[in-house]
This record gives sequence, C-alpha cells and structure tokens, in this order.
Amino acid sequence: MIQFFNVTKQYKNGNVALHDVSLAIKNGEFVFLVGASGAGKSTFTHMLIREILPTEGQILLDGKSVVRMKNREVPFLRRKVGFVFQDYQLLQKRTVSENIAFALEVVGLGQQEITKKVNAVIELVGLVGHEKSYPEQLSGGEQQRVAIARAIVNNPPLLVADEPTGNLDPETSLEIMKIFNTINKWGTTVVMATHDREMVNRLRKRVIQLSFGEIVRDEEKGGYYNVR
Amino acid sequence: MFANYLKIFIRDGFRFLWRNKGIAFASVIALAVALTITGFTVVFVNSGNQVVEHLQSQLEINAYVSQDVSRLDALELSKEIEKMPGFSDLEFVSREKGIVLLQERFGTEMDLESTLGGVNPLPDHYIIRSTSPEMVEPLVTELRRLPQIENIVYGKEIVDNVLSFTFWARNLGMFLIFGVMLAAIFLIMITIRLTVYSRAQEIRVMKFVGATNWYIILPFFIEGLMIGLFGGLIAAGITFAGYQNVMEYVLLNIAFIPLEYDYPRLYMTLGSIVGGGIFIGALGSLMATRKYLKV
Ligand SMILES: Nc1ncnc2c1ncn2[C@@H]1O[C@H](COP(=O)(O)OP(=O)(O)OP(=O)(O)O)[C@@H](O)[C@H]1O
Ligand SMILES: [Mg+2]
Repeated sequence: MIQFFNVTKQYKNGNVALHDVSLAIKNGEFVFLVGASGAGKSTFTHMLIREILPTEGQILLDGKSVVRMKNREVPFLRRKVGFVFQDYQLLQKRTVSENIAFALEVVGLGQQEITKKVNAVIELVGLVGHEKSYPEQLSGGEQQRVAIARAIVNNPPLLVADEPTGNLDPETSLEIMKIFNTINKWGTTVVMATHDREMVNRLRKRVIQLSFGEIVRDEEKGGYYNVR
Repeated sequence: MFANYLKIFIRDGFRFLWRNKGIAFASVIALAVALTITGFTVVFVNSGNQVVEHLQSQLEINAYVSQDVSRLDALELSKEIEKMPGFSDLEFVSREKGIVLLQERFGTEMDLESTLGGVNPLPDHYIIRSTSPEMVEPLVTELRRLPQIENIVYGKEIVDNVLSFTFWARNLGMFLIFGVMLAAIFLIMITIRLTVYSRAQEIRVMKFVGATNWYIILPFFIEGLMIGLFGGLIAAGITFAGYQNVMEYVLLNIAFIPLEYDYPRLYMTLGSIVGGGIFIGALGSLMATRKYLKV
C-alpha cells in the first residue's frame, strides 16, 4: 500500500528531516513510527497526504506516485487517507456532529446519508450523547475521538496519526488506542507516529524507528526500547 | 451530488455574509454608490445623446449661391458638395421657393412680394446636413473653397456647446465611475479577505479532508455575488427613481428640451447595473481567494 524509495527531505533552511528512507507498508498493517523529537516522524506522516513533498525519491500509494501527482488530484488522495492530528484540529464553532459531517459534505454526500454515517461513527468512537456538544465542552480524549471519527467517517483505506495521544493521560490513551486497533482489525492500514512508550510496548505491532531522518530499526511486533 | 454541494455553498455563502455583516454592508453601500453614479452618468449621457441627435438633425448649413451663377450651374454644384467629407444630405432651395418659405414664416399679415416691390432679393441656396456634429466644421471649410458659394450660415455655437457638454459629462462620469468602482472592488476584496482569514483553520481542515479548491472557494464566491447583487439592486432602484423624477421635472419645466422617456434603454441600463454589480462582486471574491486556487 505504501512504498518509499530513497526518500529525502531537506527543508528550505537546510534542515534534513528524512534521509534516504526506503520502506514498504502492506495493506492492513499497523505501524508505529517512533523516534526522538526531530527524528522526522511528522515529516514522514505529512508526506502521506502530500502536505510535504520529498526533495528526492519516490513515494507510491497503492502504486500511484504521490510525488508526481497533479495538484488537482490531491483532494482525492486525501479522501483516501484519514489524518489525525495531535492537536485535534476541530472547528470550534461546529458541534461534534457538524465537525464529523464536514468531511462528508466535502465529498458531496446527501444529508440523509451524512446523518446515517455520522451517527454510526459516533457510536464507534464512543461519543453517543455528545453529538450536539461543541469541542470546548469536551475533554482532550473526547476531542481526539471526534478527530478520529472525522478521519474515518469516509472509510479511508489508510489512517495516519501524528502523536494522537501526545496530550492525553495513559488511561485515555489506551481508550484511543483501542479505537485505532478496532479500525485496523476491520482492514484499515494504520500508521501512527508516537512517543507513547507504554502503548507501543503494550500493542506489539510493527515498529519503525527513525533517528536523525534515517531508519535505524524496523521490527515486527517490536517494543519501544531505548528511543533516543 | 451537485445539489448537495449547491445547498452547502449557498448556506455557507450566507453564513459568511452574516458573520461579516458590518464590513459587508459597507461594501454593499460602496458598490451601490459606484453603480448609482454609473447609472446616472449612463442615463445622463443617453439623454444628452438624445438631445444631441435631435439638435443634430436640425443643424443645417445654409450655403448661398452667388447671384452671378446661373441656375444650371447652381444645380450642378450639388455633385461637388455630395463628394465632400462628412456630407449627409442636401436640399436645393431655389430663390423662388425661398421667397415662398419666407412668406410662410411672416404669415398673412404682410405681403412680402409687394413690400419688396416685386423684386426677389434672395439667392438660390443649399441646405446641407453633415453626418455628425464634428463634421460640420470640415464641411464648412470645404464649402468655402467653392467660388460659386457667396455666403455660409450655420449654428457653430450650438454645435460647439452641445459637443463640449456631452464630452465633459462623459469624461467626468468615466472618471468618477473609475474611482468609485476601484474603491468598491477594494472593499469587497477586504470583506472576502476578512472572511477568508477568519476561516483560515477551517480552510486548512477542509483541505486535509479532501476538499477541492472550487469547493473551498465557491462559498466565498457566493458571498461576493450576494454583495454584488445587493449593491446592484440598490443602485438600479435609485437610478430608476432618479430617472423618473428628473425626467418629470425636465419635461414639466424646461419646455424646449427635446427629450422623451426611453424605457427600453433605461431597463437595459438597469439590467447592466445589476449585472455589473454581480460581476464586480464575483471579481472581488476571486481576487481575494486567488491564492487559495493553489493547493
Ligand atoms: N518547516 C520546517 N522547516 C525547516 N525545518 C523543519 C521544518 N519542519 C521540520 N523541520 C526540521 O526537520 C526535522 C524533523 O522534524 P519533524 O517535525 O519531522 O520531527 P518529529 O519527529 O515529528 O519531531 P517531534 O517528535 O518533536 O514531533 C527537525 O530537525 C525539524 O527541525
Ligand atoms: Mg512531530
């Protein structure tokens, strides 16, 4: 599903965030991306939605080049990749339902279908009863649930998360992890950048470790170990 | 699917407008002012043209043929006159007909023929019309070259006055329209920009969930269209009322002005004002969202 071929990213100011990264992630995998702060995790995840373009190398999603993609094709790529941010990125003036419906309006669904799908996903992420709440009325964990719901409501084959539990306590993190795990069980590929030692060690999924922009470890059922 | 989109765009377009109602109102007013000035100028110049056309049809050059020239030669002259630049049409008035016309003008109170002692002092003359007021002068110059023409009489002052009048009206109007229009577009741009800025995060998230550029831009476009439409309608209303009142005043108070209600033309002008408003609104919002056309 995801293929990186010798991907290098050098920012305009000269910072090299990724250096010669090659890897493949298969359909249905659950991958933790770990590494010290500044290792290049965010750069990696944002490349998957073409928010950041590599300076060298090739990225294929389902065999299609993300790099050579035309600008007008980008929205359609993004509909196939759900993205969850550390800071949720919810719209404060819209209710929980509206925040989730947002992603379906963009695709052009009718009101009935939107309502049906939104209600289903609200149940999945455990937000029943909060449909009419505004983000500021929710806890961090609940807000992250909304963000996840928005990311998956469109049934994307790939779900990418950049430190989704970075601001949450361990208990809440576990709840969020359960949601990701469930979605992954249903066939969605999950790529998650995280600092969350506890979760990585608990779930025992594939772990890719970055250090100064290079892959230093790629292990099936790996742990967090000593990430520096 | 298209209907779903349309619903959202119109919903959001109105929402945007409402959230920014203060500045949106200001741009509606600015646009209405600009379009009203435009409307008044157009109507004024149109009416001016109507007057000019009327006067023009009365602008005649009277070219008097020298008495020594024979009738035959005098008639021959028409061939030369017809070839002159700016010539439109002519009429030959023989001295016999001339005296009859003169008699008609004096009426029955005076018998011209007996007063003049049976002698007709009038020369043969041509009544010549030019294709446009601007061509009167060159035509006269040409006529002066003919040795057979003894005297030329024409309404130089009227021509000059009418011409400079419409010229200034048109230019002043254009100048005003240009200035105010620029201000209106600018205000609309600011209005839309404000909406864009206040929605920067929303636009960002929209892009993350796969919104196309036109999806992002269309609500702003509709916001601009609404401002344009409202501004246009207000201006059209004012222009309509203004036209009615001024025409009524002019027709009732200035008897000699040859002016008539011209509704087809007025409606065309009003339509253009509304259309122009919508166009400017659209232009302003496109200019404001230009940079979002890129991903
Ligand atoms: N826009 C940018 N311009 C210049 N340099 C950047 C930019 N974004 C990131 N970098 C640099 O690239 C490197 C990788 O950054 P990145 O954000 O991918 O790290 P990260 O692994 O996500 O870190 P963290 O765990 O703190 O989120 C860092 O050295 C960072 O300073
Ligand atoms: Mg990061």
